[in-house]
Amino acid sequence: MPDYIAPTRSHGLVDILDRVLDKGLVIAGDIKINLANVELLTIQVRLLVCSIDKAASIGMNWWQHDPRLTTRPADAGALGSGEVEKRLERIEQQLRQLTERSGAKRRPSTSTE
Amino acid sequence: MDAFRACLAIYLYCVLRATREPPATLLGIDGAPVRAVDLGGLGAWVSEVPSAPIVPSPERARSHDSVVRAALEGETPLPARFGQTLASEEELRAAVAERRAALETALARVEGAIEMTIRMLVPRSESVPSETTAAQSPRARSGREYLERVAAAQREERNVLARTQAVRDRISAAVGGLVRAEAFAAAAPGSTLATLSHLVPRPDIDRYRHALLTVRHDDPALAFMVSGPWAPYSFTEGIGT
Repeated sequence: MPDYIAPTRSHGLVDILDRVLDKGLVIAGDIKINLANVELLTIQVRLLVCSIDKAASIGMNWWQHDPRLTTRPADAGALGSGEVEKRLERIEQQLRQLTERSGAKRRPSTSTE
Repeated sequence: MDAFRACLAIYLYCVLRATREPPATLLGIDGAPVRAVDLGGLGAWVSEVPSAPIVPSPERARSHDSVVRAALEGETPLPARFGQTLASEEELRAAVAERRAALETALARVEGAIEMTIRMLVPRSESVPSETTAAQSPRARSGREYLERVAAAQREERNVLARTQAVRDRISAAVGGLVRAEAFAAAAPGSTLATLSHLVPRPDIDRYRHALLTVRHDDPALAFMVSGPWAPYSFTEGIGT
Protein backbone atom coordinates (compact mmCIF):
# COMPACT_ATOMS: atom_id res chain seq x y z
CA MET A 1 0.00 0.00 0.00
CA PRO A 2 2.70 2.58 0.86
CA ASP A 3 4.11 2.12 -2.66
CA TYR A 4 1.05 3.78 -4.10
CA ILE A 5 1.37 6.67 -1.73
CA ALA A 6 4.97 7.59 -2.50
CA PRO A 7 4.59 10.85 -4.43
CA THR A 8 6.10 11.11 -7.88
CA ARG A 9 7.74 14.30 -6.63
CA SER A 10 7.66 16.34 -3.47
CA HIS A 11 4.36 18.18 -3.33
CA GLY A 12 4.77 21.85 -4.04
CA LEU A 13 3.50 24.53 -1.72
CA VAL A 14 1.17 25.97 -4.33
CA ASP A 15 -0.41 22.55 -4.93
CA ILE A 16 -0.87 22.07 -1.19
CA LEU A 17 -2.36 25.53 -0.57
CA ASP A 18 -4.70 25.25 -3.53
CA ARG A 19 -6.01 22.02 -2.06
CA VAL A 20 -6.15 22.45 1.72
CA LEU A 21 -7.60 25.97 1.66
CA ASP A 22 -10.23 25.36 -0.98
CA LYS A 23 -11.21 21.69 -0.78
CA GLY A 24 -11.89 19.06 1.82
CA LEU A 25 -14.50 18.14 4.33
CA VAL A 26 -16.34 20.92 6.18
CA ILE A 27 -18.32 19.52 9.09
CA ALA A 28 -18.48 22.27 11.65
CA GLY A 29 -21.37 24.73 11.37
CA ASP A 30 -19.66 27.17 13.66
CA ILE A 31 -16.05 26.68 12.69
CA LYS A 32 -13.70 29.26 14.12
CA ILE A 33 -11.83 30.08 10.97
CA ASN A 34 -10.75 33.42 9.73
CA LEU A 35 -12.39 33.28 6.33
CA ALA A 36 -11.05 36.66 5.26
CA ASN A 37 -7.51 35.33 5.47
CA VAL A 38 -8.34 32.04 3.80
CA GLU A 39 -10.00 33.85 0.92
CA LEU A 40 -7.08 36.23 0.57
CA LEU A 41 -4.54 33.44 0.45
CA THR A 42 -6.73 31.34 -1.87
CA ILE A 43 -7.03 34.24 -4.28
CA GLN A 44 -3.28 34.77 -4.19
CA VAL A 45 -2.69 31.09 -4.89
CA ARG A 46 -5.20 31.19 -7.77
CA LEU A 47 -3.35 34.14 -9.26
CA LEU A 48 -0.15 32.16 -9.05
CA VAL A 49 -1.49 29.05 -10.72
CA CYS A 50 -3.74 30.67 -13.29
CA SER A 51 -1.34 31.15 -16.16
CA ILE A 52 1.05 28.78 -17.86
CA ASP A 53 3.85 31.34 -17.87
CA LYS A 54 3.53 31.77 -14.15
CA ALA A 55 3.06 28.05 -13.62
CA ALA A 56 6.34 27.39 -15.43
CA SER A 57 8.14 30.20 -13.65
CA ILE A 58 7.24 28.84 -10.21
CA GLY A 59 8.44 25.38 -11.03
CA MET A 60 5.19 23.76 -12.10
CA ASN A 61 6.90 22.54 -15.27
CA TRP A 62 8.13 19.49 -13.37
CA TRP A 63 5.90 17.22 -15.43
CA GLN A 64 8.18 17.84 -18.38
CA HIS A 65 10.91 16.06 -16.45
CA ASP A 66 8.88 13.25 -14.95
CA PRO A 67 10.02 10.08 -16.75
CA ARG A 68 6.62 8.51 -16.08
CA LEU A 69 4.82 11.29 -17.89
CA THR A 70 7.16 12.26 -20.69
CA THR A 71 8.45 10.37 -23.65
CA ARG A 72 11.98 11.74 -23.41
CA PRO A 73 14.50 11.17 -20.64
CA ALA A 74 14.56 13.67 -17.79
CA ASP A 75 16.73 16.68 -18.47
CA ALA A 76 19.23 16.24 -15.69
CA GLY A 77 20.91 19.53 -16.48
CA ALA A 78 17.76 21.57 -16.04
CA LEU A 79 16.83 19.86 -12.81
CA GLY A 80 20.35 19.93 -11.46
CA SER A 81 20.79 23.65 -11.97
CA GLY A 82 18.76 24.43 -8.87
CA GLU A 83 16.87 27.07 -10.85
CA VAL A 84 13.49 25.52 -10.10
CA GLU A 85 14.34 25.27 -6.40
CA LYS A 86 15.50 28.90 -6.37
CA ARG A 87 12.27 30.04 -8.00
CA LEU A 88 10.18 28.03 -5.57
CA GLU A 89 12.13 29.50 -2.69
CA ARG A 90 11.43 33.01 -3.99
CA ILE A 91 7.73 32.34 -4.41
CA GLU A 92 7.48 30.78 -0.95
CA GLN A 93 9.20 33.85 0.46
CA GLN A 94 6.64 36.09 -1.27
CA LEU A 95 3.76 33.99 0.02
CA ARG A 96 5.15 34.23 3.54
CA GLN A 97 5.35 38.01 3.28
CA LEU A 98 1.80 38.20 1.93
CA THR A 99 0.55 35.98 4.73
CA GLU A 100 2.35 38.01 7.39
CA ARG A 101 0.88 41.18 5.97
CA SER A 102 -2.64 39.75 5.89
CA GLY A 103 -2.13 38.32 9.41
CA ALA A 104 -1.15 41.77 10.68
CA LYS A 105 -4.24 43.32 9.12
CA ARG A 106 -6.71 40.64 10.16
CA ARG A 107 -9.71 41.40 12.30
CA PRO A 108 -10.73 38.97 15.02
CA SER A 109 -13.38 36.82 13.48
CA THR A 110 -15.50 33.84 14.27
CA SER A 111 -17.20 33.79 10.92
CA THR A 112 -19.32 30.87 9.97
CA GLU A 113 -19.44 29.14 6.66
CA MET B 1 -6.04 22.26 34.21
CA ASP B 2 -9.68 22.86 33.31
CA ALA B 3 -8.96 26.56 32.86
CA PHE B 4 -6.03 25.63 30.62
CA ARG B 5 -8.23 23.26 28.56
CA ALA B 6 -10.87 25.95 28.20
CA CYS B 7 -8.31 28.04 26.26
CA LEU B 8 -7.76 25.22 23.77
CA ALA B 9 -9.76 24.02 20.81
CA ILE B 10 -9.60 20.84 18.74
CA TYR B 11 -8.22 21.16 15.23
CA LEU B 12 -9.58 18.59 12.76
CA TYR B 13 -7.34 16.96 10.11
CA CYS B 14 -9.42 14.07 8.80
CA VAL B 15 -12.23 11.60 9.44
CA LEU B 16 -11.54 7.87 9.25
CA ARG B 17 -13.68 4.75 8.80
CA ALA B 18 -12.52 3.47 12.16
CA THR B 19 -10.45 4.81 15.04
CA ARG B 20 -6.79 4.38 14.24
CA GLU B 21 -3.87 5.74 16.27
CA PRO B 22 -1.53 8.13 14.44
CA PRO B 23 2.24 7.49 14.55
CA ALA B 24 3.46 8.51 18.03
CA THR B 25 5.83 11.10 16.59
CA LEU B 26 3.33 12.78 14.27
CA LEU B 27 3.09 16.54 14.82
CA GLY B 28 0.40 18.83 13.46
CA ILE B 29 -0.32 22.57 13.38
CA ASP B 30 2.30 24.54 15.34
CA GLY B 31 4.07 21.33 16.38
CA ALA B 32 1.20 19.96 18.50
CA PRO B 33 1.03 16.14 18.79
CA VAL B 34 -1.74 14.51 16.76
CA ARG B 35 -4.15 12.14 18.51
CA ALA B 36 -7.10 9.98 17.55
CA VAL B 37 -10.69 10.56 18.70
CA ASP B 38 -13.15 7.65 18.74
CA LEU B 39 -16.42 8.78 17.22
CA GLY B 40 -18.30 5.57 17.89
CA GLY B 41 -17.21 3.57 14.85
CA LEU B 42 -15.79 6.45 12.84
CA GLY B 43 -12.54 8.08 13.94
CA ALA B 44 -10.82 11.45 13.59
CA TRP B 45 -7.28 12.79 13.88
CA VAL B 46 -7.02 16.04 15.80
CA SER B 47 -4.58 18.18 17.75
CA GLU B 48 -4.93 20.92 20.33
CA VAL B 49 -4.68 24.53 19.20
CA PRO B 50 -5.35 27.85 20.96
CA SER B 51 -9.07 28.66 20.72
CA ALA B 52 -8.57 31.55 18.33
CA PRO B 53 -9.03 31.54 14.55
CA ILE B 54 -6.20 29.67 12.85
CA VAL B 55 -4.55 32.10 10.48
CA PRO B 56 -3.41 30.22 7.39
CA SER B 57 0.29 30.20 6.61
CA PRO B 58 2.44 28.09 4.31
CA GLU B 59 3.92 26.24 7.32
CA ARG B 60 0.50 25.46 8.77
CA ALA B 61 -0.84 24.35 5.37
CA ARG B 62 2.11 21.96 5.05
CA SER B 63 1.53 20.64 8.58
CA HIS B 64 -2.15 20.04 7.81
CA ASP B 65 -1.36 18.18 4.60
CA SER B 66 1.43 16.11 6.16
CA VAL B 67 -0.94 14.81 8.87
CA VAL B 68 -3.53 13.91 6.21
CA ARG B 69 -0.78 12.27 4.16
CA ALA B 70 0.26 10.18 7.17
CA ALA B 71 -3.36 9.03 7.53
CA LEU B 72 -3.36 8.11 3.83
CA GLU B 73 -0.69 5.48 4.56
CA GLY B 74 -3.57 3.34 5.86
CA GLU B 75 -7.22 3.27 4.81
CA THR B 76 -8.17 6.33 2.81
CA PRO B 77 -9.39 9.13 5.10
CA LEU B 78 -11.73 12.03 4.32
CA PRO B 79 -9.43 15.04 4.54
CA ALA B 80 -10.80 18.12 6.30
CA ARG B 81 -10.47 21.61 4.90
CA PHE B 82 -7.84 23.80 6.55
CA GLY B 83 -8.74 25.76 9.64
CA GLN B 84 -11.61 23.88 11.27
CA THR B 85 -11.57 24.03 15.02
CA LEU B 86 -14.18 22.80 17.46
CA ALA B 87 -14.52 23.78 21.10
CA SER B 88 -14.45 20.23 22.46
CA GLU B 89 -14.61 16.52 21.63
CA GLU B 90 -18.33 16.68 22.42
CA GLU B 91 -18.79 19.35 19.76
CA LEU B 92 -16.84 17.20 17.27
CA ARG B 93 -18.99 14.14 18.13
CA ALA B 94 -22.17 16.17 17.65
CA ALA B 95 -20.97 17.59 14.30
CA VAL B 96 -20.12 14.09 13.06
CA ALA B 97 -23.34 12.50 14.40
CA GLU B 98 -25.41 15.10 12.55
CA ARG B 99 -24.06 13.99 9.17
CA ARG B 100 -23.02 10.45 9.91
CA ALA B 101 -24.83 8.82 6.97
CA ALA B 102 -23.27 11.24 4.45
CA LEU B 103 -19.81 10.71 5.99
CA GLU B 104 -20.17 6.92 5.79
CA THR B 105 -21.27 7.13 2.16
CA ALA B 106 -18.30 9.39 1.31
CA LEU B 107 -15.87 7.11 3.17
CA ALA B 108 -17.21 4.07 1.31
CA ARG B 109 -16.74 5.90 -2.00
CA VAL B 110 -13.07 6.73 -1.33
CA GLU B 111 -12.23 3.37 0.26
CA GLY B 112 -9.13 1.85 -1.30
CA ALA B 113 -8.70 4.79 -3.69
CA ILE B 114 -6.61 7.96 -3.88
CA GLU B 115 -6.94 11.23 -5.76
CA MET B 116 -4.91 12.15 -8.83
CA THR B 117 -5.13 15.68 -10.18
CA ILE B 118 -4.66 16.80 -13.75
CA ARG B 119 -4.15 20.48 -14.50
CA MET B 120 -5.04 21.21 -18.09
CA LEU B 121 -3.54 24.24 -19.70
CA VAL B 122 -5.80 25.75 -22.31
CA PRO B 123 -4.25 28.26 -24.70
CA ARG B 124 -5.95 31.66 -25.03
CA SER B 125 -5.80 34.10 -27.89
CA GLU B 126 -3.39 36.76 -26.70
CA SER B 127 -5.16 39.56 -28.50
CA VAL B 128 -8.46 39.01 -26.70
CA PRO B 129 -8.67 40.44 -23.20
CA SER B 130 -10.83 38.75 -20.59
CA GLU B 131 -14.42 39.88 -20.26
CA THR B 132 -13.65 41.71 -17.04
CA THR B 133 -10.68 43.51 -18.55
CA ALA B 134 -12.71 44.36 -21.64
CA ALA B 135 -15.53 45.80 -19.58
CA GLN B 136 -13.20 47.85 -17.41
CA SER B 137 -10.89 49.08 -20.16
CA PRO B 138 -10.99 52.86 -20.33
CA ARG B 139 -9.84 52.94 -23.92
CA ALA B 140 -13.15 52.16 -25.63
CA ARG B 141 -13.89 55.25 -27.72
CA SER B 142 -17.51 54.42 -28.40
CA GLY B 143 -20.32 52.29 -27.13
CA ARG B 144 -20.00 50.14 -30.23
CA GLU B 145 -16.28 49.53 -29.64
CA TYR B 146 -16.97 48.64 -26.02
CA LEU B 147 -19.68 46.13 -26.95
CA GLU B 148 -17.48 44.60 -29.64
CA ARG B 149 -14.75 44.06 -27.08
CA VAL B 150 -17.14 42.42 -24.64
CA ALA B 151 -18.53 40.20 -27.43
CA ALA B 152 -15.00 39.16 -28.45
CA ALA B 153 -14.17 38.31 -24.85
CA GLN B 154 -17.35 36.23 -24.54
CA ARG B 155 -16.52 34.38 -27.78
CA GLU B 156 -13.06 33.66 -26.41
CA GLU B 157 -14.50 32.25 -23.17
CA ARG B 158 -16.73 29.94 -25.24
CA ASN B 159 -13.71 28.87 -27.29
CA VAL B 160 -11.71 28.16 -24.14
CA LEU B 161 -14.58 26.04 -22.79
CA ALA B 162 -14.72 24.08 -26.05
CA ARG B 163 -10.94 23.55 -26.09
CA THR B 164 -11.01 22.48 -22.44
CA GLN B 165 -13.78 20.01 -23.18
CA ALA B 166 -11.77 18.52 -26.05
CA VAL B 167 -8.75 17.92 -23.79
CA ARG B 168 -11.02 16.59 -21.06
CA ASP B 169 -12.72 14.17 -23.46
CA ARG B 170 -9.35 12.91 -24.71
CA ILE B 171 -8.14 12.25 -21.15
CA SER B 172 -11.44 10.72 -20.04
CA ALA B 173 -11.40 8.34 -23.01
CA ALA B 174 -7.94 7.14 -21.93
CA VAL B 175 -8.47 6.75 -18.18
CA GLY B 176 -12.26 6.48 -17.85
CA GLY B 177 -12.24 2.75 -17.15
CA LEU B 178 -9.75 3.19 -14.31
CA VAL B 179 -11.53 6.02 -12.54
CA ARG B 180 -14.14 5.64 -9.80
CA ALA B 181 -15.22 9.29 -9.77
CA GLU B 182 -14.31 12.60 -11.41
CA ALA B 183 -14.41 16.22 -10.23
CA PHE B 184 -13.91 19.10 -12.64
CA ALA B 185 -13.19 22.78 -12.13
CA ALA B 186 -13.29 24.85 -15.33
CA ALA B 187 -10.74 27.61 -15.89
CA ALA B 188 -11.86 30.86 -14.27
CA PRO B 189 -12.48 33.73 -16.72
CA GLY B 190 -9.10 35.03 -17.83
CA SER B 191 -7.32 31.91 -16.57
CA THR B 192 -5.73 29.15 -18.61
CA LEU B 193 -5.86 26.42 -16.04
CA ALA B 194 -8.69 23.89 -15.60
CA THR B 195 -8.45 21.14 -13.02
CA LEU B 196 -9.66 17.57 -13.38
CA SER B 197 -9.48 15.33 -10.31
CA HIS B 198 -9.87 11.57 -10.43
CA LEU B 199 -10.57 9.08 -7.70
CA VAL B 200 -8.44 6.09 -8.68
CA PRO B 201 -8.39 2.66 -6.96
CA ARG B 202 -4.90 2.14 -5.53
CA PRO B 203 -4.14 -1.04 -7.53
CA ASP B 204 -4.86 0.89 -10.75
CA ILE B 205 -2.47 3.81 -10.18
CA ASP B 206 0.27 2.44 -12.41
CA ARG B 207 -2.19 1.69 -15.21
CA TYR B 208 -3.64 5.18 -14.80
CA ARG B 209 -0.18 6.74 -15.15
CA HIS B 210 0.56 4.55 -18.12
CA ALA B 211 -2.70 5.57 -19.82
CA LEU B 212 -1.77 9.25 -19.42
CA LEU B 213 1.71 8.56 -20.70
CA THR B 214 0.11 7.06 -23.81
CA VAL B 215 -2.05 10.18 -24.27
CA ARG B 216 1.04 12.37 -24.03
CA HIS B 217 2.91 10.14 -26.45
CA ASP B 218 0.08 10.14 -28.99
CA ASP B 219 -0.61 13.85 -28.74
CA PRO B 220 2.40 15.80 -27.44
CA ALA B 221 0.59 19.10 -28.08
CA LEU B 222 -1.90 18.45 -25.27
CA ALA B 223 -0.71 20.48 -22.29
CA PHE B 224 -1.54 18.86 -18.99
CA MET B 225 0.29 17.99 -15.81
CA VAL B 226 -0.48 15.31 -13.27
CA SER B 227 0.06 15.37 -9.54
CA GLY B 228 -0.66 12.83 -6.86
CA PRO B 229 -1.34 10.65 -5.09
CA TRP B 230 -3.35 12.99 -2.84
CA ALA B 231 -5.91 12.35 -0.14
CA PRO B 232 -9.36 12.72 -1.75
CA TYR B 233 -9.75 16.46 -1.01
CA SER B 234 -11.93 16.91 -4.10
CA PHE B 235 -14.36 14.12 -3.19
CA THR B 236 -15.89 15.34 0.03
CA GLU B 237 -18.80 17.27 -1.46
CA GLY B 238 -22.37 16.65 -0.39
CA ILE B 239 -21.58 16.52 3.32
CA GLY B 240 -21.53 20.25 4.02
CA THR B 241 -22.52 22.12 7.11
